[in-house]
Amino acid sequence: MTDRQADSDLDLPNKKSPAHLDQKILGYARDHAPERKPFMQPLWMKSMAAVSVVGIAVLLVYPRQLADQSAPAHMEEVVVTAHKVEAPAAARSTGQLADVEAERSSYLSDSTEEAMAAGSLKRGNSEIRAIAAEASNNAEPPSQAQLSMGAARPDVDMAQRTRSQPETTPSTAKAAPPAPTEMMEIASLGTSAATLPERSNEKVEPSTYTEETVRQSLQEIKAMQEDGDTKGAEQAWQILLKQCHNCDLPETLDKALKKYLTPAAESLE
Amino acid sequence: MLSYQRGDTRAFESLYHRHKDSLFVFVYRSCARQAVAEEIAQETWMAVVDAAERYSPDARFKTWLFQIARNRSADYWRRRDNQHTPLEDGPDAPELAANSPTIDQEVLTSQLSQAIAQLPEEQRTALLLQMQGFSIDDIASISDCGKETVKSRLRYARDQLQQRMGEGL
Repeated sequence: MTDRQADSDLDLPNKKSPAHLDQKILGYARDHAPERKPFMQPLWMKSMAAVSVVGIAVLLVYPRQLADQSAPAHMEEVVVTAHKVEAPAAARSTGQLADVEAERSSYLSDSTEEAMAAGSLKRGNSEIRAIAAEASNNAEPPSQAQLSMGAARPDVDMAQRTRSQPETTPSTAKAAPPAPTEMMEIASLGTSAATLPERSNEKVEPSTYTEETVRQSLQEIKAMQEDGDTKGAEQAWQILLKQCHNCDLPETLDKALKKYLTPAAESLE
Repeated sequence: MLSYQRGDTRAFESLYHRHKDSLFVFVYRSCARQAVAEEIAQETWMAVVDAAERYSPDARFKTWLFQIARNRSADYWRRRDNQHTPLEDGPDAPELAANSPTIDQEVLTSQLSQAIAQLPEEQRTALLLQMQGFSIDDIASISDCGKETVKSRLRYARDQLQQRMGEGL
């Protein structure tokens, strides 16, 4: 017999828990029972929920930050697109465009008459009348094709032009002079003044025509003469005369070529 | 116990009925007084109820329950400040069974109870836990000491019991 068996065999009083003690303890257990929970929420479920919330927050915030950073580029694109859309949309109203063209032509006629009255044009009456007639030709409403050509140029803000045109005076007009190459292209096409692009009909500030630009234009005209395109050269010269009527140009193309393109004249300057 | 942790009071009732008698016997043999045993048993079970929400199944429930009971018994003996009971405040006399074979056996039971009650607290606890069926490891866990210490306590307790019972006989 082992020691453990000997201990177990000890004849000790084998008491039982009394009933009143049982009731007391069970009552206490019922009163102080933990609150019943609907289901077990282990630690991993709580941590999963926390991680999910953080993840969703990051997903919501991070793309917004990216969008904010790239906003300027997007905005530029939007502005450019809007500008491109604005010009054709503004020019789509053909009646409005016709009014604008008529107003521009009448302005040119007015300016010519003013110039005649002031005697600033030191040309023969016949030439002045020719220019005036040419300008009056511009007063004719442009054809639908011309309107669509103007409307197809996205860099021309027609709406802005329509707004600013009535306020323009001969002294405040700021339109850039036509580039010599563009003028030559127009002349080589042999088109009349009425079919020229609007820019060639715009009022030009005399002061914007420098002697250098006049010389470049004349060089182009001379090159056209040398190529045998005398008609085109003559038309280009007329346009130059018309647009640069305050430039103190000689009466004829030959004189102008002599004055501006001979080395002697350059050396004198 | 985990079911009771979730608020199931029936689970606690089942648990209580399973362990109440063994616990009460252990407590009663520790102190050898009915009233004290009831008090310690009640304190033990109330401590279980109060600690239910913090309970984690690191060990067997029975081991945890008897660890609480052992601590309560130790507190009781500390309060008494005397491990040796005086004669006038001795343990309850064993109840005489109607079919008790002989008077000598009753006397022997009473002497054994007195001898256990006179053991040092650690030795008595180790001995009573072993009588409840706990292993050396469980006793070491309940008593918060090493296995060798438990073995040593058990050996000393048996020696003293044999000595006193031999003297008594």
